[in-house]
Amino acid sequence: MDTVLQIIKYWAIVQLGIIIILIILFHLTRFYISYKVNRDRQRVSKINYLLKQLIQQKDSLTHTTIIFFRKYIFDFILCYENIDTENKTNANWHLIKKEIDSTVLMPQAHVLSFSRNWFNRYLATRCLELAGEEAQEKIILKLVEDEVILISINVAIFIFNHPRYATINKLIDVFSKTRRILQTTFVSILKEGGIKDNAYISEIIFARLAKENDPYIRILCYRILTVLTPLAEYYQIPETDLRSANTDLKIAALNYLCYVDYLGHKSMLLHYLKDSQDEVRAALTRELTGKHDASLIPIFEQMLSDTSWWVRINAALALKALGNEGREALEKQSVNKDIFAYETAQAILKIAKM
Amino acid sequence: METFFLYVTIGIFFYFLTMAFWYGLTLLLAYADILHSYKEVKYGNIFQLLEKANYLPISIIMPAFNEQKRILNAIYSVLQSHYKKIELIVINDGSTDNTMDLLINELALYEIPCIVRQVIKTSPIKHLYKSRRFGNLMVIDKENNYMGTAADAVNCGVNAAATPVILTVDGDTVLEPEALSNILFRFLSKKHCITVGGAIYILNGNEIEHGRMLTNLIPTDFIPAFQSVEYMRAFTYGRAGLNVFAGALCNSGAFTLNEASIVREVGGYDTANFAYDAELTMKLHDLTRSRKYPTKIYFDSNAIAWTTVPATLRSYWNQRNRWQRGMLKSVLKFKHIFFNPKYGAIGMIIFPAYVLFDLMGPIVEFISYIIFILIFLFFPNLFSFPNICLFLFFAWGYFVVMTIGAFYLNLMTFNKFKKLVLLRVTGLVTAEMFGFRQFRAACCFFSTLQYFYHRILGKPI
Repeated sequence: MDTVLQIIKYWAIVQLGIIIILIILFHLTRFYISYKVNRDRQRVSKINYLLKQLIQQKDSLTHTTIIFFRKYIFDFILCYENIDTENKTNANWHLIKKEIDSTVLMPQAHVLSFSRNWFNRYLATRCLELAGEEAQEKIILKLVEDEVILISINVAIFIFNHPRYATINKLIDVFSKTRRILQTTFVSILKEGGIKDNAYISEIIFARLAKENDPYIRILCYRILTVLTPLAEYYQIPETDLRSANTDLKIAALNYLCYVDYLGHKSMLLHYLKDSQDEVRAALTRELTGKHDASLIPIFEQMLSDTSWWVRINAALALKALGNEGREALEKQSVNKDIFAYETAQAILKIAKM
Repeated sequence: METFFLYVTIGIFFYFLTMAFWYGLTLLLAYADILHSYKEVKYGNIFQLLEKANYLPISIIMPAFNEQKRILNAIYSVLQSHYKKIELIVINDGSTDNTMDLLINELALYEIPCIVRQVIKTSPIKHLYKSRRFGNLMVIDKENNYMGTAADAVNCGVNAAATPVILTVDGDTVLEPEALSNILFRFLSKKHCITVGGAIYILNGNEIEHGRMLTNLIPTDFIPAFQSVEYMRAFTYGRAGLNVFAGALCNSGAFTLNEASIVREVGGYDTANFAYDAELTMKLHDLTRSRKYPTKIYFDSNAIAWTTVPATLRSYWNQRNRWQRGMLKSVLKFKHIFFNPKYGAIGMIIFPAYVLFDLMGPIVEFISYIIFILIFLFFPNLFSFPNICLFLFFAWGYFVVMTIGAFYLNLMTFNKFKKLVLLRVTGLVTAEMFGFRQFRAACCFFSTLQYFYHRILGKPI
């Protein structure tokens, strides 16, 4: 017992020591942080100064300057972006920019892309973005596989802004097999961000669809195609996709047809409104809602009696979206004819009146 | 008998020594983790990083039961977040006060068709509303399931969410404006991350106006203030320190980001469990480890929410009673993880530490108080008074070290308090040792007894 008490006694003294050390450490750390913030600020000023000297041709891009820029690549990227915005029309800047891309950004992107630290790999993607067309394919192919979402998404956007056959195909391979969240985010970014070289990308994706059997890859291809501007030469797709046992593929293919050429495929699409899978019927009804086609009213009216409530709701919403004619169809429903159709129609009408 | 008590005392001493070692280790790991993420945030320019990720929509699920006094602050704090790609789903869980009327009037709600698929089974939805004032706000008015938890309401929100990522925020919780950006930054910048828990601070006693925090203070009232210190310790070494092992076993339901698909895959939250948030985290660990998914669960000290905690001893007892029973239920449900090498670090380190120290710690503490009293009454010669004081000084010193360690980490990094608060924290840790800790230990001990008593009698737990 005495030994235990001795241990406690010494440990209590050690604890007191730790408290004192923590206080000292705390102040030292705060001092170090404020010192580092100052140092970083000075470094940013120096990078800005050097870049401006280069633009004014007062100085040339020496080996020492290149090493300095590479060493502090994060600060350099921030300064580079600002200078680029300010000197968009400056011919000197465009000359020096090319040199910087090949001597600083690309070599550094290569080095950083192999880093174990995600943030360094992220910086590699930023270097790629700034270097643009100069970016090396092998770095892009490596980074698009990155498991950190922030990195792979940034590289994916870069790939779509600077499309190449190999990189687009790699992206499709990676994103079709990865987490669903990545795919959804990427497609949503494409939808909102816009794409520069639409026709070339469509061509690559259709070439891929022509030889690809994997349903997951095909789904992603269709999802991407529905955010690109439709091109007349790509209005037809294999019927096997529409008959696929994979519901997601079937829906993706139908959505694509609906998006690119609704009128051209109308009869076929209407046929799939009677599909045996309720997910297909519901998804297609939702897609057709946006077409505002009054000739679909009798079909939607019929679908109010569908066995699946999800399809009934979508059909009623589609009718509501068709204005007065659609509303009349909803009002026509009778409790004696079909109680479910009546209830669905009433629920939507009630909301429409509010 | 005297020998028996002597050996029990030595056993308890070594138990607490092991516990001290474990918490000390996790505090050190927390230093490494928090300083690293501080570096990333401070020098990583996260707002620029998130500029592109701003396309990732998040559904925020906010369950509310009788929250008429607090719900609007919670809603406005979410809507005023710097991150704007959000869809807020407020679920009125059958409130018996004026919560629903308040929401209808304040948010100008109008009814829409009830098109929520019951992927996870919940109590029936009565009405579904959208707001005329805020296009990204939806209110679900549902029946209460009378299980006494918000789990059913959260499940209802999970069903209604149409985004790949969901965030749960309690109806009495206020988010910092940058909290959403920060939590999302952690989610996107970590490999295979499926869940990120945020840090919780105590809201009691702070001033809020339209969802904005006007003050950032440790509560002035003793009971919330003690809890403030308790939360600080728990969220520093109990969560951040465990990031290195792929995550803690409990991320607070008051502020946690989850990947929606995986929550649906595990069937959502357990509506009959008071610690439903811990249960979900365990369920996620169980599923992902057993299927050898490389997924990870993280905690982010920089994503901060302020929540209301019990202000009286009675309500504190009730809350801890429910949590302890809920945690026991969860642990027994996933007992197969205990020292199971198949579950890696979760099975061999985190889960056993959670059971032995987090769950059993207060119980052993209470038993040790009883033993000390018995020794004092029947074997006064076994320990001298100075020795007992030495024991107490040792225990107090340990908690001071841990709390100040955690607090310093806060001050050095994502600090929300003033430096002077340090004195108050030290005072609170000291005061905590004289009554409050014992009260908490007693509560956990009796809750455990109650749990097993109900279990034996087949009563609802």
